[in-house]
Amino acid sequence: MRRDSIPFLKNHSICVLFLILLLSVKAHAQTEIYVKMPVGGAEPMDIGVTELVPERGEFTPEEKEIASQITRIVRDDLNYSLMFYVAEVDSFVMDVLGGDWFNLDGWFKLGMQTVLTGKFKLEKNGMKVQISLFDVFRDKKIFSKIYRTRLENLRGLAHAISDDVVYNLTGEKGIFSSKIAFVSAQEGTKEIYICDYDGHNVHKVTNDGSINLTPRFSPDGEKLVYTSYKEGNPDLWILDLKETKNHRISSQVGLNSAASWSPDGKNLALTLTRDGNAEIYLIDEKGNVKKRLTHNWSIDSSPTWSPNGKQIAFTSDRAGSPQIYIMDSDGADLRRLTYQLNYNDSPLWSPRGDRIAFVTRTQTGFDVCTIDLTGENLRILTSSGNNENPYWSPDGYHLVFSSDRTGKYEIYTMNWDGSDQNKITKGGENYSPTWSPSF
Amino acid sequence: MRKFWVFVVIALLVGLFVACGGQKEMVKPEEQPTPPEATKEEPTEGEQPSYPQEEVTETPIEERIKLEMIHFEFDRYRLLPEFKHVLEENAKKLKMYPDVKISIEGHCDERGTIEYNLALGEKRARTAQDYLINLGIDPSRISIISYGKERHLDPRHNEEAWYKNRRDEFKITSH
Repeated sequence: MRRDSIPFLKNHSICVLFLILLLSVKAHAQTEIYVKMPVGGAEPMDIGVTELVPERGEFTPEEKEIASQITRIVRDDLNYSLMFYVAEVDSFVMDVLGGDWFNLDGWFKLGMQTVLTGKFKLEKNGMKVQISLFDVFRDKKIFSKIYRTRLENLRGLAHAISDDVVYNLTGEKGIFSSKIAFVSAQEGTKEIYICDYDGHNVHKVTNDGSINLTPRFSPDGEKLVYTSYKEGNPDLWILDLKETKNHRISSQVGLNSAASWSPDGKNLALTLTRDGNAEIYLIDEKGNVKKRLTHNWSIDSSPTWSPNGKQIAFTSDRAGSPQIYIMDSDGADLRRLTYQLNYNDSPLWSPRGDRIAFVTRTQTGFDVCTIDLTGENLRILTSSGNNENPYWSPDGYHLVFSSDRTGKYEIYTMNWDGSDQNKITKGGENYSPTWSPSF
Repeated sequence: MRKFWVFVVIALLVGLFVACGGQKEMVKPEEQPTPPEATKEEPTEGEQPSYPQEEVTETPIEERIKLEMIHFEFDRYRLLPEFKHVLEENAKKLKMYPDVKISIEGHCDERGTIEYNLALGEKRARTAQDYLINLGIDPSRISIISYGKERHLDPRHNEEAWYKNRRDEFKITSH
């Protein structure tokens, strides 16, 4: 009798859970969900992105140039997202629209579900853009917004528009204002740099002439944690990006390396060698050791958190070669994840929680792979040169990594399935990329 | 009227101050005619030792005690038999100079991740540290540090370079 009641309870609680999920998605999104995120490759949504038109009168040549740059960046962003397919605007499209960007009937005939329109005006010390997003099928406005910014922030403005389009159609934050931090030795010593997700706006954030390694953003994106030899020993430092101030948080004897922030931002998992061997520890933001998580006379390194903070994946050579393992975030319930390839390292848990990216050593070099948490569905995503240090985009649909396929190490991004591999840095000697959260 | 006098006094004081400052600057070059002459004679380097400049002629400690490096296999940190005698020689020299303290630097080749190689480099440094301690060197004389794959001896990307780069170096930190 009791046995029978359990499945009923289970079903019941699943229903409740489903309802809660549904409600929370609604509440979070504040809008209707137009696009289901493409986990495993759903069809992208067709969207028309019009040229910006003058708020009044005609564009000057300068205005026209700026306005079309913004449109171009927004189109590139939305195509990059994998959620949209931006209509190519050619003479056929212009014919159907009759030269009127706001012709929703025309966009309907072209099969577009949504269309993004906008007006542009140069102002004193900057510019003003007014954007409107329309649901073409239902003939209604989804949202409109006015943006004002200085001219130098043209790319930032375009990315903000793209972020708002994604948010209003999917209920999830866009990734276009996110940043990528990486290590570069272009000027001789290894320093940390930050750029936009598409490689623009590169700037240097450390400048101490020592060795600075493995940067990781805090969950709020306002700080970077990294290992630096600035004071001689490989210690752990935090750089406050707003204040542009850094301070040392862990200087235990030996290594203080490979740190990564817990999703709640309260702790860091890292490798310390203070007890005579590379083990994984938890420390708080002041550097106090809270717990030692591994106990094995082998190398344990490169911890990465599951998005809910309950588990940690890491590299260990306890079986004779580096392999990926998963444990609870208190060190319990250890299991080995990778069996298929004989040298696996550099695990990175997807923000969607469903898979782990890592690097494997092959006959010819190193390649980026992904694998499900069950240890199934291994995909090798790269093939030429050495491809290392994968890191997920905050939406989990893209990966950034370093590769020497051209003979020099550069930073690349690609889609989660390995498609569209594009170089975003130049000059060589660029390593260890890491992606910020969405802003 | 009073304001006027205050102004005049301040103006005079400022004037005096500026004048003094100016004079000082004028005086400076006249006060130092000797040093330039002394530097003029310097080019002949042989004359320098007349200064009591601490033992410039003596060979540096690194040359008197040449501590040889050891190498490792890929992704391994065990001491290879062919390098045991190198550590034994190093231990002998350290015993001859009991005041010398060293840092063992562990290094890796370019393959594999930065993080993993940091840990591997430290394992390699520890291998040599343990061996030297077993040979009777006081543990307080030996510190270790890992540079992972950050400091290559040979920048090339082939077996020969990789072999050279997988190494422990023995650096003298004090004597």
